[in-house]
Amino acid sequence: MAIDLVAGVTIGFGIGWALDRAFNSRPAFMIVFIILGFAAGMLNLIRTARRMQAEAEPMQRAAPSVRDEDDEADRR
Amino acid sequence: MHQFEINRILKLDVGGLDLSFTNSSLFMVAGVGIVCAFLYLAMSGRSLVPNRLQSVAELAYEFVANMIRENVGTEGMKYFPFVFTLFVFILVLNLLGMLPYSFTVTSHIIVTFALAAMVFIVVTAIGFARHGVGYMKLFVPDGVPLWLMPLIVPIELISYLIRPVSLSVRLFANMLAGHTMLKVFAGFIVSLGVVGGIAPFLVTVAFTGLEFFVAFIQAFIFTVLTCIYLNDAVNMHHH
Repeated sequence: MAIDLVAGVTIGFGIGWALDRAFNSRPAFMIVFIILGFAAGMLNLIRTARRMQAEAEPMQRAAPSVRDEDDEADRR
Repeated sequence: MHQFEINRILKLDVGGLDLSFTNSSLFMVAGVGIVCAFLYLAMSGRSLVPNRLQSVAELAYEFVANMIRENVGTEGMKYFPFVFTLFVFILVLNLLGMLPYSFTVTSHIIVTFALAAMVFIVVTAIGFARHGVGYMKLFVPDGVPLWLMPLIVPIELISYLIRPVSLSVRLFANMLAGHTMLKVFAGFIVSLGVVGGIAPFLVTVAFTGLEFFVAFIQAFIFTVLTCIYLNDAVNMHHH
């Protein structure tokens, strides 16, 4: 999952670097696109996490709940 | 390290392009050969009650078919040959790399990146073929206020462009790191001698088992992610 983040920053850096070379404006685009790349990586990360959560949820619900001391204390 | 080196077996030079047949190519051809031979032998009986070989082939079919049905839906079964080929190819190459003295094709980023780029291009082409220009709506999520669009659309676009990079790096890094770790721990056995070497020896044995698992799970993850990208292209499903 961490690869998403690294890839995001790398791609952002690449796009920024290419645009800066085209417009001779280093480091303006680089800064903007590294931040955008980080955001995009975060977006992919959150989507992956959400998908994993959705896959795990039925199993978690099916698992039997275990009674602990707190439940006993509530009853008293 | 020696196990990751690429050697030219048959030198071939076409117009300045180095098209030599390397050990990497040899293992790819071997992988394709093994898959074809296996599926041919397994399905040659075509019995209603499958024998052992045939049930392995049917298991592989069902495994990938269920993966597509779950992630893309029945509409995605059109692309079954593509996904199945990808899964079996990567799985066999990963497992071939587990043989001593063999070469792990998937531990080279250029191979995994070529595979990931192919997935990226195919998925994008399917998306545009099915939805036309409307496929661009994928980059414009619902319910976002207009003034945020200049920020959200580039982020969505970059997150789409990241896919081939993260897909290829994940497979390559896992294979490379696993094989390197095995080599490092195996080196400890020699340097620690007969008595002290027992601990790293046990670790190496355990990690070899883990590597077989990783070989399978990475082929699985690569295919599942392909299915998820296919789902975007086929159903335009918003997250």
